[in-house]
Amino acid sequence: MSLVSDVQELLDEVNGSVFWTAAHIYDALNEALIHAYADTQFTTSEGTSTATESSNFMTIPTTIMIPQYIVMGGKEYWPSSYPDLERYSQNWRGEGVGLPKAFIPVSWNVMRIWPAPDTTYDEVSVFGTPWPTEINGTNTDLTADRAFKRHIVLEAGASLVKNTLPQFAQIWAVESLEEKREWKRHLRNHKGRFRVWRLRPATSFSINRGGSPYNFKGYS
Amino acid sequence: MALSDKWTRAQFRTAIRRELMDSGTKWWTDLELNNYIGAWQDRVNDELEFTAGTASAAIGSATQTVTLTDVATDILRPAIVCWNNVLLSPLTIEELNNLNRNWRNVTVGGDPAVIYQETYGEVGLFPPPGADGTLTFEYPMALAFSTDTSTSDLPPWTRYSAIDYACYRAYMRNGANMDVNRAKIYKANFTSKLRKYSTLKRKYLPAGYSKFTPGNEFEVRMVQPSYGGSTMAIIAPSSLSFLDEVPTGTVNAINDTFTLTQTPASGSLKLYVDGVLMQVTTHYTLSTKTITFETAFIPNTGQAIFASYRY
Repeated sequence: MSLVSDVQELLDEVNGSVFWTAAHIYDALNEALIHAYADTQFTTSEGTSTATESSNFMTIPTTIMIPQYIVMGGKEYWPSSYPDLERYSQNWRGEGVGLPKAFIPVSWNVMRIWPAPDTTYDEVSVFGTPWPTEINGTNTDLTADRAFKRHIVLEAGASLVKNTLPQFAQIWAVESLEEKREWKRHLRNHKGRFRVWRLRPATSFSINRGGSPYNFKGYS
Repeated sequence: MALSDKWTRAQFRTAIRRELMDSGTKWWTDLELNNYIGAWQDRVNDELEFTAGTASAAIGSATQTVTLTDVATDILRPAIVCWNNVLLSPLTIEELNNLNRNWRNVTVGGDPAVIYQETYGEVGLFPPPGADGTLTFEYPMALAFSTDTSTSDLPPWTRYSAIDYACYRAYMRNGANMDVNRAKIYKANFTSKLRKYSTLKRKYLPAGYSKFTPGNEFEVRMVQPSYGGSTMAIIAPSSLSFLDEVPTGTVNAINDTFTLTQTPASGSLKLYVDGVLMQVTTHYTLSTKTITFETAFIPNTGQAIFASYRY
């Protein structure tokens, strides 16, 4: 079974495209995939871009859908903002070239670099949620958790029948949300950043071992 | 084709025709659909401002108004406006009137501190600059398709809403295929996707950049004006910075003079000794950058002095 055949089964079109062509199904699945990736941000990828000498702007790599942080010269940078720079210095725009200190997403595919680089930096890594691989005639499936795939299938199905069978669409949309919640529960139990919480010892660490300051004996 | 690839206008049309079941251009012409696609792009871009551009223009002294199309033809609306690289404060006409009813007659001089918009397509500088300078705009761009092969500059994940929008418009059109109920459903789908996109945008562009909305939350860098005069007490943004520092001088119960690195703006200095706020005149006097403590309040050895001020 693949995502495409799952949707066809949901639509009772196992034996072929009677009402919905394959292209309809691909579009619905791709849209559902994009929203699911963006919403859960369950995976992170790395893309590489170049900060060109004296250029104020840098393109976000096309493999990254939602940039989260940047690594340059072994140092991490988190996306900044214009208000941050204004607070830092009201003359920031007048600054000459130098080692970049801040990256500001200004468009969906462009970041401003401040200050403009003093030389060309070829290896600027942008980490973030990647674009999903497109579902099409040759790629019909996704390797993922059962609940995540079910969420995609139901959302795609709901989107396809929203005009002709609105009641079905509504039910499938609700089911799809339930599957998404199920998927998030799986994430919580299996993904690294959630395991920190899951692995919390029964007796919390002392403050000296990095525990909460509320457990410090002197705290009242 | 990857999901991150931008669609061309022809690709949008193909997807829309598939949804309308009109692949043979029987009911809707290409021209019609092109109009709908263009309108969709304008609508999404106008609401969510995904694509930013920048442009500069040389401005002569005493210039009061600048026409946006003279700066760049693709300005959807001005967002950030800088004079010689320093951000200008956007104010409304009402705010300028409250500051000084005679603001339009303020004499030319210095750098402009305020940008205002009185007419669509034009911005005004206040006070008019005393010398030539550069006005820089950063703005959401107006997008347009020029040919069938030109691509949309909206993020590719917005493309599916074009199908809903175009179908809504197509079914609203008078004619054999007019179907208001169906149009309503497509419209509802489109608006629901717009809401989804604004959530996505918050993740994508966490900081965003403020719209040029006079009177918005931009920091207004000015002091209370003296009403009725022909000059207005506006502090240019570049002259207003804050500084926290330890004044220079020996702390030994004998030395009464300490020096700051900058001259504080009038009334802005907060001077602390061991965390206790000192009062000007009572505890110390200030002359340009020099602080002189009154005899009874000279700091003792080991006491911490800290100054916070604007200059």
